[in-house]
Amino acid sequence: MKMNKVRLFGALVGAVALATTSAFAQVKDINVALIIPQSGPVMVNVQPAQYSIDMAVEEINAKGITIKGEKYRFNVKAFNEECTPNLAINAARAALDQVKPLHVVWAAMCSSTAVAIRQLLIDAKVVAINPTSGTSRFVGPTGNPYLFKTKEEFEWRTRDLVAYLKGKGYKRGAVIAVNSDWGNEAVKVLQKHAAQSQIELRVLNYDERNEEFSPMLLQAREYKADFIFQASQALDEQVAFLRAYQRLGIKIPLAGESTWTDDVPIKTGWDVINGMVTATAWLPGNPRPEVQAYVKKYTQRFKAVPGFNGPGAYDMVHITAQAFEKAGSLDTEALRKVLRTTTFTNQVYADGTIRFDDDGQAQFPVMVTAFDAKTKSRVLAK
Amino acid sequence: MLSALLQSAIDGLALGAVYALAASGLGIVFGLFRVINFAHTQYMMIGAIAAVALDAMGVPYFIALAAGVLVSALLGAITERWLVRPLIDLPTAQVNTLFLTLGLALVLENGALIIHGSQPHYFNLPVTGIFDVGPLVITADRLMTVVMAIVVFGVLYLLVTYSRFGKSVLATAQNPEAAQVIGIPVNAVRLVAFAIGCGLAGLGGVLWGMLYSVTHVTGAQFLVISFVLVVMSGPGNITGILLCSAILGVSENIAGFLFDPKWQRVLVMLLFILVIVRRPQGLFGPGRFTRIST
Repeated sequence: MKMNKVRLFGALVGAVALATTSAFAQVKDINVALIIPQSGPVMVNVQPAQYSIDMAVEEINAKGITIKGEKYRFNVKAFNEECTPNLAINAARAALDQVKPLHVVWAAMCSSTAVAIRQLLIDAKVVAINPTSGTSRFVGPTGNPYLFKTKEEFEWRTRDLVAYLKGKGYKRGAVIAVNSDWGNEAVKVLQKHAAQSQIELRVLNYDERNEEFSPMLLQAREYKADFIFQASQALDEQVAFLRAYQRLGIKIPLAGESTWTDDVPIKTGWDVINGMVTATAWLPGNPRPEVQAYVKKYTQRFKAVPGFNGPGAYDMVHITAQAFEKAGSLDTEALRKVLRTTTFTNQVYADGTIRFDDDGQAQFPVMVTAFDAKTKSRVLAK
Repeated sequence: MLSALLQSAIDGLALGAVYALAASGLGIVFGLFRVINFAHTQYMMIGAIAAVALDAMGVPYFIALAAGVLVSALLGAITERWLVRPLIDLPTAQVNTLFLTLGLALVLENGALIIHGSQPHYFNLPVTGIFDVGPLVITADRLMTVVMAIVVFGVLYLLVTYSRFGKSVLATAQNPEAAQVIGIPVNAVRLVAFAIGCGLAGLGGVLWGMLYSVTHVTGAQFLVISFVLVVMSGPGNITGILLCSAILGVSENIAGFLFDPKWQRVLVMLLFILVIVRRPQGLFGPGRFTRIST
């Protein structure tokens, strides 16, 4: 009798083990190389993207990605590029060498690294999606069919913002911009559109990590600027800029790059930023349920609001999952064709849909928004 | 124009005060050990992070400040005792410690990133208020920073000049072998002096955090400027560091007002090169923390 019980117990354990093993075996991996900074000063901008990618991967893996009736999950391996071109090249080489089979790459936080690894990815004929870099030199021209970018172009934001500023009757602006590849591209595009709109600009470039903005703001005041445009990707710089603006009692209207998001007034208070305009595709106050669910989940989990790099990175993971399901295969050619030809659902960024053009650049509208102290949110600028 | 220029200069004084605190500890350590401590400004960051964490828990600013200074000093003491001291008597001590401190700097910065995260943190301002002096604006926090730096340097001067410990530090800096012979506990003196130097850096970090922000890269941004100040003012010349810091802070801000700010650091570095070429002994000459050749 006792022996039978032991046998029965053994059989049960065996059955459970077999069932568990086969259940796990049914979920196959989609191997992803994630090439983004894991250390260094740029982490202040990267962490929201990393958190958002983690969140999206967890959500998708919990449901599974269904390809021809089989369940898949993302198996992500990260490679550190520190926003430094030579490190990025090493990281890309390591990713291409170590992740086998490599199904997709999520890459390039910064413009300089995006451009640096571009050719490696093209040569490897691997589908790569860039969620955060603003440079127009990553995707396109037509003929590089493997690269995709879900972040909007500088051109679109700047065109709409300058049109808004011109509509306000502004004739001269002071530009206080970080002296980086990103900052320089922002300024270059702004100068082009300002010239077309007969807006005169004085450009003041400062070194990264600078937090002393008094001299620049005083210079802008002496210049009698109608508006000040600030381009910085770093929250600490933005907060220091606003604090100096407030301390010096400057009243010149403010405009900013899309990197100015709701995390700034949380640190400075809303009154000082009231009325500042930015052109962006990200509006955390967007009433769409997906947007509100993302903001709520992110805020609760990380005790912070998602920065400007978070929403795009979150969407990139969801778009990749949709693309694999629509492709019905892990094949690179099938994946890239689907990405080129399909309209995807954007979870949180922009207006909810996204489509890539022939260059691999995602197409969606941007909007000019204003920080509003009354509602403590960003609203469409009037 | 003139008022804006003066405003830039006044704002530059607070910047100079933090520079002085960052560089003075480096000067002391270099004078005492001949060690080029690449990790020095990381003690600023560690002190600032410790203080801002306490501040977030509701600890009053000045207690958090004291704790931040203490943490930096303690970390400095640990560095001296277990990392620098075992190497200091080796023939290759300078190279060994240079690379050791470079590695330590990276460990501290990335350790802070892992533990503290990448987002900037802010103090609840301990003093608020704006003093309008004609068209000029002086805020209480900047005034406090300048006053605290001056007071700290005054205390440091008194300590070095009049106390038995200060004289022991000077003797150890000037001739450690002779100091040992006359019974000065050289190792203990070096340990305490190293800790004081790091504590000063911590103070600079906490004050910087009050004016601006605290991140894991708060220290790294002061590294170059601290070395520039130590060399520019004259080796081992602490008073020179204070004066040079004020000159540099004010010049940087004035340059930022008069020119495109991207030229700020270029102009400062050109000034530095000019000083090195014309006065290799520094603007104020070798100070008392300088080894006497025997």
